[in-house]
Amino acid sequence: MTEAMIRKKAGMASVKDMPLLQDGPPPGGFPPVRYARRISNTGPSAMAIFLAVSGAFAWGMYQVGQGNKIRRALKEEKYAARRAILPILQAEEDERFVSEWKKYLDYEADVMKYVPGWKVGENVYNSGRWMPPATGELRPDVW
Amino acid sequence: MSSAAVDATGNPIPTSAVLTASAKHIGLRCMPENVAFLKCKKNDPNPEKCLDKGRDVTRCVLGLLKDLHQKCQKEMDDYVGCMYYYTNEFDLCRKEQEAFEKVCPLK
Repeated sequence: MTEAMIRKKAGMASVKDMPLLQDGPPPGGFPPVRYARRISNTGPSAMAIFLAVSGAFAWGMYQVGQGNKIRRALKEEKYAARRAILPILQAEEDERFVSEWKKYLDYEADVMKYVPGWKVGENVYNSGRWMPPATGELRPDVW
Repeated sequence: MSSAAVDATGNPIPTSAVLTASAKHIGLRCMPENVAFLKCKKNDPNPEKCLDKGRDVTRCVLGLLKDLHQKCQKEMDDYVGCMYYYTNEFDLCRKEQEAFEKVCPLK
């Protein structure tokens, strides 16, 4: 039904005379609302916080140093292993190189045998030091 | 690619896994030959001049590998297999390393 049928008052002349139906405060009003700040002054002091943070930092840096020590020991182990096996690898490579070099010198003597005044092999640099051959042809399987 | 580390006659092949597995033993027991070879090389890098010392090094190392393989075959094969699997990373093979060094100790 319409609101007038529900909320009617006896002797009402128009809808504008209906009793009011409003949402309002309870009788006596609402209780007061607190809006004041209440931040407590307890807890650690500034010096205490500073010491705690710097203590944590120092302990963390100490752990970093310990970890670096461990990592350095691991790296040293790896390098020591490499130093130990370097001579055998170099010795094997030297043997292979010398046999290949002899073959190369024989080939050079064969190719240049009709060139007058050609000294076979070793006509590279004048400094007297041994330099590895710079041609890259001695390992055709690699290149 | 065989990770078995021995050739047909039972000698260990000096692959990278075998050499890094026995690197500590090589560094300890073949040190005089290694140092002599390196000094010769530093003096003159010509390969033909240091061939004899190189042969000393090869003889020492291959003999040492054969000796280790004969004394502690299973542990060495396990360690070499682990090295091969983890590409010569010592830290990932500690268990096999300890077993190997217990049977073939570094003196």
